[in-house]
Amino acid sequence: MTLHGRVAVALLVMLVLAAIVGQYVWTIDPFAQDPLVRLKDPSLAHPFGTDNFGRDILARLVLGARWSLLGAAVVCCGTSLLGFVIGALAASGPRLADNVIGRSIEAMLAMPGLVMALALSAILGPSFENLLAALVLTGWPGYARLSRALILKERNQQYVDGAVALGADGTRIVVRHILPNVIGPAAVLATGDFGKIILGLASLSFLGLGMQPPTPEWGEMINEARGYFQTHPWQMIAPGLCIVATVLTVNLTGDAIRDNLDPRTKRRRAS
Amino acid sequence: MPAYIASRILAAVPVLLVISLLAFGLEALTPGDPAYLLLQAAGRQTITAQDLALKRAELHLDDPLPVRYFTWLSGAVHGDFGRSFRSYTPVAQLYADRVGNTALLAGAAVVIGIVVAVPLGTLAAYRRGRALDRIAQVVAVFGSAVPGFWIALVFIFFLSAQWHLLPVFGTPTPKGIVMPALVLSLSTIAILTRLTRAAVLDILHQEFVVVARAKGLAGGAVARRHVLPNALVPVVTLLGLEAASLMTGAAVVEFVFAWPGIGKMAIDAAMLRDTPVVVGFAIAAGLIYVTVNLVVDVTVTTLDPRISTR
Repeated sequence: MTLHGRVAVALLVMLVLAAIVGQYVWTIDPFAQDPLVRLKDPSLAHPFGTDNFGRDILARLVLGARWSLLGAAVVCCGTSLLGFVIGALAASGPRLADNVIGRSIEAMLAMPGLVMALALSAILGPSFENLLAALVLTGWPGYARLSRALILKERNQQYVDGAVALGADGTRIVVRHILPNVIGPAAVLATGDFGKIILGLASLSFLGLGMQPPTPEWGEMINEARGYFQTHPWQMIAPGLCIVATVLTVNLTGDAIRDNLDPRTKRRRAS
Repeated sequence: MPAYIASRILAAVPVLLVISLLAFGLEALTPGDPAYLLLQAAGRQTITAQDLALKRAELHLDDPLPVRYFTWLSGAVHGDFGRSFRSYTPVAQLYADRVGNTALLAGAAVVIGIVVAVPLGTLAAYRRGRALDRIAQVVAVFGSAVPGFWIALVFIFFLSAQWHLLPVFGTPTPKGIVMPALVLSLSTIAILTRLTRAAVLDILHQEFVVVARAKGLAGGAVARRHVLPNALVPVVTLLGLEAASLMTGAAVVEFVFAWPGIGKMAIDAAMLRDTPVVVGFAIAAGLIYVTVNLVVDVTVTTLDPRISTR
């Protein structure tokens, strides 16, 4: 792995650790309001200042990291799982089903996914769970296409014939024999998407369609700061920098993983 | 060539069908009685059971779902996308009034993107590994990691609140469009720079470029006649695919700058749970995407005639 890659992975590990143990290190209550210290600039007591209700921004950022990372992880797992199931249904079902699903996948890929997620989460009603559901329901087509193509390829391998000869049924073959061969490429696709999902979550939360106040989420914090940022910019600069730093490390880690797993890019780098 | 265009148009039909199914599904999913909401929006003070029944019949709400879908689809084909639950204005009219502003903003952003990214990516490929290449890579990496809504607020803070250079609100005027278009172009610049660099690098190693150089053609002529036209094919294709994320980006940017376009209207409608208007945005985005990519497909074949025969 290159030096860049190692640094990115180390930073990402630190971010995840901060999200998990952060609130035991920085013990100020992220929900505690204090009207005496409203909209303060950074100081020793509040390294990132305080918001309109006098809540400590650092404590809120630490709690918000959890939602961003956890939410993106849930969406990533959800989309790849749903995509795999639909791709498997297409690849192993009758020809008509394959055609219909294949066409739908192509059409869904042509749709602006975040626009659909926006419409869906607006209709389901604004909440973090509904936003996650909306992102999963609109994000699967890429994974379905990948899984379908890989399953069609793997299906003709000898080990599948062997399993069939031993009397294994369709579900067992897909889950025990084919799935392990599909996980690798799907994971590469997922790491590439992770940063985009974090941005999407933050954008829709910023629009008021995700996490609802008072629970802190980075996009939601920037949304709350909108009324005061012209005089108190720290309110929105701090959560924004968190988003940028997280997406940056996630993207660089994804690049490093891809380079490591895909021998083609490695050779191209070397030449 | 005409056969190729016809095949591309045919390929768009299933996409449009899926869009229509999704849009109809979203409308049918929405909780609440559309008949009641529409009567309310039309300004009725008291709504009797008879009014409601009449309205339900007019909207075909009591038909079975598949029948309702075809009624809805035939309405949509004729430009009838229903009425807003809030203002009772036809959705098609709401969009027709505002789509020009969004097109202006998106067009400006794409122009900025091309003007910045294509030269930057090309020069980066020519000066591989040097300072300019490093700069291009940093631009590409940061540009795709920065959330548009946040950089919009940062721009407003510095350019409007601190230095008073530009207005806070985006309006379709020379001064008012600068910030929204710049912010919207950032992600396009990032992706386009990376892709242009990769495409030019790829072509610089092709044999026809080596031949062109070997026969003594000057560097500038090689770039103009051999490298750039070939590198433009993936660039134009990507611009078409970017139309989708540009629509989402435009919605967010319009919202922050209060730009009077379709994206802001859709987000405002989302807050008010005005489903026909929200669904209209998905339809509009889908239609724009399909149209843009049709244009892109045709443009690419004129850039590289080999594609239509493949």
